[in-house]
Amino acid sequence: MRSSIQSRLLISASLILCFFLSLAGFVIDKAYKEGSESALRERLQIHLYSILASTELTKNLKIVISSNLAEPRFSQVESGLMAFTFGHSGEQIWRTKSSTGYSVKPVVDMPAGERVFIISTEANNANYLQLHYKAILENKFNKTAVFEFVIVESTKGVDIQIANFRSVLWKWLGGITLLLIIAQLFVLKRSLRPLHKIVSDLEAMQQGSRQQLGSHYSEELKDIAHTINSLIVNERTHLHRYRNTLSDLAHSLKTPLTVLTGLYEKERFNSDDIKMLEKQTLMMRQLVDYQLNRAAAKGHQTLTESIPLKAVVIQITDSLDKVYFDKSLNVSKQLDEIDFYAERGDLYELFGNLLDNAYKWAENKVDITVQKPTNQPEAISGITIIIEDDGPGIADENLEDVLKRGIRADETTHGHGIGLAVVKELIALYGGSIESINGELGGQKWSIFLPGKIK
Amino acid sequence: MRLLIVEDDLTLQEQLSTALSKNGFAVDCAATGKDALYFGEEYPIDIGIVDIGLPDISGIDVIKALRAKNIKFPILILTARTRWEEKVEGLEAGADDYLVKPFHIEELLARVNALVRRSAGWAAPQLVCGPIILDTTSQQVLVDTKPIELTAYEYKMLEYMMINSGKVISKTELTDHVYEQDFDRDSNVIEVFIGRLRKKLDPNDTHKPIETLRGRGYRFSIPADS
Repeated sequence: MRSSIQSRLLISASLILCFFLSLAGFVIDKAYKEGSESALRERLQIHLYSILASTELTKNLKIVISSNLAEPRFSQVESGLMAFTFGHSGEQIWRTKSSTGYSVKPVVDMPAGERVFIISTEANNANYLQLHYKAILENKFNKTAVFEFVIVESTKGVDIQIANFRSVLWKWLGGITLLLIIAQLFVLKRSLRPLHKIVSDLEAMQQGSRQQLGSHYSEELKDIAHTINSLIVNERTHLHRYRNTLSDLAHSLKTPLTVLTGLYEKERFNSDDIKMLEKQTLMMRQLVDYQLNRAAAKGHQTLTESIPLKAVVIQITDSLDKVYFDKSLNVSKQLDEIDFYAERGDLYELFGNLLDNAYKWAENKVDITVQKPTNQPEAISGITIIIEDDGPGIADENLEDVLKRGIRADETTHGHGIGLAVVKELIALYGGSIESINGELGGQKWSIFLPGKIK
Repeated sequence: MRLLIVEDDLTLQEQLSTALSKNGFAVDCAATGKDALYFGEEYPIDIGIVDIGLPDISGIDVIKALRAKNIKFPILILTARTRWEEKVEGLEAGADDYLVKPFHIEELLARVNALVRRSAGWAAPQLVCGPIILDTTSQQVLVDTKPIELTAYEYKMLEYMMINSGKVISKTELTDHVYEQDFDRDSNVIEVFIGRLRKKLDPNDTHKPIETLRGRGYRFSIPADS
């Protein structure tokens, strides 16, 4: 099962948080431990200096250390702080009272003036830090002798201190992590609320208790909601149109079918019957073509790409140049570089039908213009298409009929007579307009405005 | 003229074949795209009628494949689809004209004749070579404005020769373009037809429209009127 966005975000953020807080805890812990150990070393040095200060070298090169040392722990048994002195050959010369039960080995080969720290672990797992220092002492008679001073302190106190610090540190970090995760959960819940809302609204639409998404979503989701709403409207419009088309088709086919059924009863067909057959089958063919074209028209789509109009027009004129090759027409094109947001198939139908008519009727010349509109207010975006031929044109009284389905201005030229009716339907679908105007070429001139987004 | 019909609906294929044969074409038929490619590549076809909706390879792909092999005979596409996007696709693939189903056979004949004329560089439906006029629409031949009677094969032969006037046409070429694939090819029959044509076109032996070039074939020697 796929986890929700919320749990994904929460798990990812929590893992990152735990990782960084652990890293921070580790660094702090390490720094504290090193600090404590460094302080212990400092203390051992201070003890060394105080013992050296209380030491005197006699005439016969023996050392005398005052029994009254400043640090009282040297005098207490098991205080954890001890001091030892070794002679030149490593023989123990002096030790404090506190060193009872503890022994230490000198570092014999250490050069004079050097110091070294050694950590020793005893049988009871107690750790001790030893500071070994080889000192050259001088008496009043300028005679010198070398002695090794060893200061030892148990690390127990430092270990306890570090353990206490660690315990407090991890408790705090754990608490902070928990609080941050809870805060994150709260932030996520609040941030994802619009998504939950849109999901529940979509569920409500699926169950039929809502028709559309509202407009109360966050800025980021408003566009999605708008697109989904447009898709829903498109889908409903199409469904509605398909239903109407099917219903229209079914009803309109019934009349010619009834006429044809009437012919069954005849044993032989006369010429009138054959004409009737031809007329009715032609009508059925036109009805099927018209309704199919109408159903296929899509209109403004929510998710359409922009179509370069120049390329579409050139593709169609190249094709028509082949079909009407014999007419050797002079076709002039004034095509602006416009990308128009519409369904590709609709544009092919629109230009295909208009240009096919122009080529079909033209004597010598066809003019095609596609441009940004010059007579529309700036706020209305769209395209203007002007197609003109020097053919016989369509008389004003016939214009209405030509734009109705299935009626041709002249039955003698091939074609199904539905082209212009399809064009009219398409233009209406896009909310545009078509008008027949007097042209300079003396034939038919169509001026079309299609509103829509252009690039 | 040798014509190839590519149509998978056998009833329509037969209807078209009968009508076009009656109108002077030597007709070959293919029901699949594969057969169409075979005919198109292997036979000297003068014009093709291709249905777009074929069972194996689409008609559009057949046209593209033929054009890719530089086979240039004119092609008329038959389609049941009335959408312009599809018509343009077919014409862009290399077809020269389209006809939407259903259609009248007269319309198909007119389009096919226009394509044949166009491929030969004739604009009008009449082929005129001096005193001889051949009307591709009515299939009538006039010599010095008087109509003459020709059989179907004589007509086919004359049409092919007039379209290719001035060119040398071998007997094999004439046979290939005038007869269907399975016809019994006997070169003597061609000679007999040529003899008859000469008598009918030029009974007084004044124009001498058909020259015999020994070992090479024939030539229609009266140039076309421009």
